[in-house]
Amino acid sequence: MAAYSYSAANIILNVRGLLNELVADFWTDAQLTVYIDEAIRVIAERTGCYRTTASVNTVAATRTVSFTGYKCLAIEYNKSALIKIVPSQVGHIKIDGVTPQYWFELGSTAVIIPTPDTAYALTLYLQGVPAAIGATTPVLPYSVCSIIPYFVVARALEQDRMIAPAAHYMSIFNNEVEFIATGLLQNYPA
Amino acid sequence: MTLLEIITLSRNQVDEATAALFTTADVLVWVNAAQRDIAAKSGCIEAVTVHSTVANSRFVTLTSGDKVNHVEYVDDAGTILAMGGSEIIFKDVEDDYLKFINDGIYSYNAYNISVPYPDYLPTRITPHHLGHVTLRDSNAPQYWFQWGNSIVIEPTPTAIYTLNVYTSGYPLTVLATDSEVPEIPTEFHDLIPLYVVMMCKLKQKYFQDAAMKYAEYIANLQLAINKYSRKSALRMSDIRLPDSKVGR
Repeated sequence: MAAYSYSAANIILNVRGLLNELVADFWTDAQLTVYIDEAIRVIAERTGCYRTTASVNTVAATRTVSFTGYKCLAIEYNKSALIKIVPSQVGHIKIDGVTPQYWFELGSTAVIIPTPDTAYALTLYLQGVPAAIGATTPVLPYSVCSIIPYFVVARALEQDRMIAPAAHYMSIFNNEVEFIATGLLQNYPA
Repeated sequence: MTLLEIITLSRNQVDEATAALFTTADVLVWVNAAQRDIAAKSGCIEAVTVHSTVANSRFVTLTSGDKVNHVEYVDDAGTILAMGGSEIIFKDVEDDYLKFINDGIYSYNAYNISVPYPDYLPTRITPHHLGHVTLRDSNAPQYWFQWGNSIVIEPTPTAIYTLNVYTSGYPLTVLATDSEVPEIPTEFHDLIPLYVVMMCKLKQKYFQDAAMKYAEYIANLQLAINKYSRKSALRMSDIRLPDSKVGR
């Protein structure tokens, strides 16, 4: 027997049990899947549990490199981490040579200091944006997927204008998110 | 506890001995969800697996969903050496001197962050430390951190090295028959009915009851984590001889 799979079908089965609507009637599977995808994004955004890396090259005479993700957490060049600074430090820090040495985040770009004179290969450590569940399972760590049903039930009840019950489920979800962020992930590097 | 015992206890608590509002399928889903939830929160399903580094790559890919607790480097002679990167092992010790040590990066390209005494003491690193941590005179793996589904090694391995990776995983089977026993250790079994009853109360829309049961579940789980999952080294107070003046 295999491990439990957090497929959309299994999550919906769990949710429908709590909603007491085993066969789609008021809530369609498509609606519940939309809420599942929202839950995945909310968990990833609020906990930072979905970590990815990206290899990018700088462009000569361009200070910025683009990335796809909620946040860039660190940048590595030539087996060494660049030091993260803030914009007000630019021009006031010691530069040693022309290779990338410092960086800061600006929207969905990382600004590299000094301005690259050529293409340098960087590794970006990112807090990623998760993909929709589709026909597979969430890209989130397995251990955090268990809280998805709370969010989905809360959204479903809200859709049915059962606001107070929805708030109870959302309260549990928020507690669990808090636990993930401060308990489960406390030793994940930031 | 067997699955049957868990279900019986849970059904007693919600006063529904025979499936009605709470279907058998419902209860099975919740029992298994409880087991996964306990495993995730407590890290109680522990294993040590052997991995190999890839030459010229920092990344060692893991089984999806595993949380890495510790990593050891095994050298060619078979000597096992804990690598720095796990949580600070003395964090529960009140006389932990590590907490007074600040890490910092003083120069962008220098290996100038010293690991506090002794060199082999596990301490935590982050991506910001890469290339900046003082290394012993060796290219062998010395530090690590987890990044998503990988562990990242410092320094970048130049060859294939053997690692022992201590992980916390999740149940590899789904409970289905009455005689089956949960994969989580016995000391965590009693938590499962608390979770199941909470879910029953949610389905009943008895939200105050559910909140009470949730609080009980979390409190008992926290106690179990503190007692069984946390690892800490001996403190001075654990090995100090009794004060001979006591009782005079």
